[in-house]
Amino acid sequence: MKGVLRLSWLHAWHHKAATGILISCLGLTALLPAATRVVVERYGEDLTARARATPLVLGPKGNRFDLTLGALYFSASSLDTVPYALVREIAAGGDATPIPISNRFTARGRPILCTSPEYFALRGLTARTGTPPLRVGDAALGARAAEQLGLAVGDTLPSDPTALYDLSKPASFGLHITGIFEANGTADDEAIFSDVKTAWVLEGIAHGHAKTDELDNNLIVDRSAGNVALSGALIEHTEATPKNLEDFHVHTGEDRLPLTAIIVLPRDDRADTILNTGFNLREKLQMVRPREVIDDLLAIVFSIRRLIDLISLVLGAATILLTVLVLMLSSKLRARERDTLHKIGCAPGAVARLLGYEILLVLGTSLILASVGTAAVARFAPSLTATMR
Amino acid sequence: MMKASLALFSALFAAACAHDAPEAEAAAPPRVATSFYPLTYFVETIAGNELELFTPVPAQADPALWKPDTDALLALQEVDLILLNGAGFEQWVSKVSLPESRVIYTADSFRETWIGHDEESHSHGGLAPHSHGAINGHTWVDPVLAERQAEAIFAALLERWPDRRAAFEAGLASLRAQLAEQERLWRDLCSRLRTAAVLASHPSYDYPIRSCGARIENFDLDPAAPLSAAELDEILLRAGEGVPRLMLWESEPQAATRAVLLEHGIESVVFETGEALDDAELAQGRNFQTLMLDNLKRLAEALGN
Repeated sequence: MKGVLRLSWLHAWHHKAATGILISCLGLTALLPAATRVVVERYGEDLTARARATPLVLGPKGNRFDLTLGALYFSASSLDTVPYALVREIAAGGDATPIPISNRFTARGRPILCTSPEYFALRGLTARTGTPPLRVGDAALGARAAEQLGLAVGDTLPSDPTALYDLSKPASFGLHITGIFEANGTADDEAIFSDVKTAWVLEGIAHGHAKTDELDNNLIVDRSAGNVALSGALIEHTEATPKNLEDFHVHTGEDRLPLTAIIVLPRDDRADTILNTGFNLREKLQMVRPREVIDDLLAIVFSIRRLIDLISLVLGAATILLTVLVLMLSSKLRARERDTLHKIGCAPGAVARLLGYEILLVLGTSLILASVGTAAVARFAPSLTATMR
Repeated sequence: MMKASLALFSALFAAACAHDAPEAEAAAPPRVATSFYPLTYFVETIAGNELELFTPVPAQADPALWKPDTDALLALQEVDLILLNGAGFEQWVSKVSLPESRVIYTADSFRETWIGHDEESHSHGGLAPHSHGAINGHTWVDPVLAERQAEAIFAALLERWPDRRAAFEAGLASLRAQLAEQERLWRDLCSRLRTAAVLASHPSYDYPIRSCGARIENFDLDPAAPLSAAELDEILLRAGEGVPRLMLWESEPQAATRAVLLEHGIESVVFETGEALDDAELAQGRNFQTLMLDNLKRLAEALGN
């Protein structure tokens, strides 16, 4: 028994290239559907878990996938904005907690999520070091963002300019890193967090500059009754500091300030229904249930996965047929070897076992490789959140 | 077998009770933050001991100009409810991160009646002219508006803690009675105020004076600083012809200032707004109501009532 097994092994080892090709073909054929299934299921679980924790999202009319993925994963979208007045309206209604979301800006390519402290409570984000953003211009980093950007508390991170060659657009604004959050294994780990009031500075709707009576006369174009017209050459503060924080002001009523979305946490099922119905009746707004949107998205993903499964099945069948063909041809080539074995006194069953062990060795190694490959894909597949933006 | 089951049940019950006891003990009262003393007084009167109150602004600080430090902001982010005056009074609010769903701007319900300062606006970059925080935030000085702010506080408390309705309703009734007394005293003074020349060292009295249908001239005078000749000239220029002529101060002006103004027929009247009452004053039995009644008594005396 041991001798036959050893002969099988030595034969396979002697024909390394042929055995290796055979194992690779079978292994890859098994790996493809297994890895696809593992990755899709993991992404599905991630998406569903985050959607479950986000009961309602209010935003502008348009693509509901864009709205949901923007609010949950901070992905960029071309949707319009909604006014901050809606946050006040929902809070005043008393049926739900609104959480403002503005994610139109980036810093070193990463999304800056401008929100309010309720967001950190919703996602269970606690500061590992430092504090959450507390003032205009403050920022806290997700765990992976801090690691990958190589930033620490006390550093300054400039926002990405929206239009490099357009001087009418706001320039880069320096964000002061006040804290780094503990990792929570979600999209939050990749993001940069700031207060929603900082979003309006990034938008150029709020800004800071010295008081008109402290400015150089060259910067004053006209001084008429009750109004001072300032020159376009006025340089605004490019970061908020304890000294100049008081100079920051908004150019419009706070109620009109733009948001990309509002996460809404209703008090109970009744409030959920009333809010969902009420806001969806409005002309320019839509309220979505992320769970439903993500389920629809996953249905599309799963239908693609079924197609991949079918293709894998056909591919697998073709590979098995080819393998059988290879084995048959190999058996024919090894006719003299079988004769020799018979002549030196081997039992007929031993020859069959020799071939069987060789086939089992190839199949077993292929399956082990496929399993290791699947585990590696599960472990090292890029984070869903990293691929979203 | 039966005995064993009973013993097991008793042990489990005892364990459950032992587990519940610390939870009941640990049930702390809700934490509510207020931005300055008048709101603290309103909440104390409405809610009594039902809530744990917290005011991050130190007693001697000006609540309008106070700049919160990191500890204060972290504390504000943790409380169950933040009660602010609004109407642009707390200038720090627009620069900091607060949990907006837990913030109540008590003066928001009468937004249409807010009074603007005569502050210079500016324009740049093709944007519309704008100014920085030009609303007069001293709404609580007018008892009618103070009552509306009290109602906003009551509604916010009731929405969050409906099981304490009876206590809150009793407290609100008590506060309404106090504010009604202030309003009655103001009404008694209105006819005299309409014929008087009312000046103010700071624009803190616009709301009650407007309610009376009277006019007021606001200045920017520091009671702790001596009155300059230019300031005196401006006061005399804008004082008008009304009789009597009164200058309202938020705190006692310098004796020399009082004397100079009196020489020109202007009587100084201390009318405290109660923005910040320290522990020593509270320990002496002073509170928002006694402070306002004292103010109104001094004003009545100055008006000759």
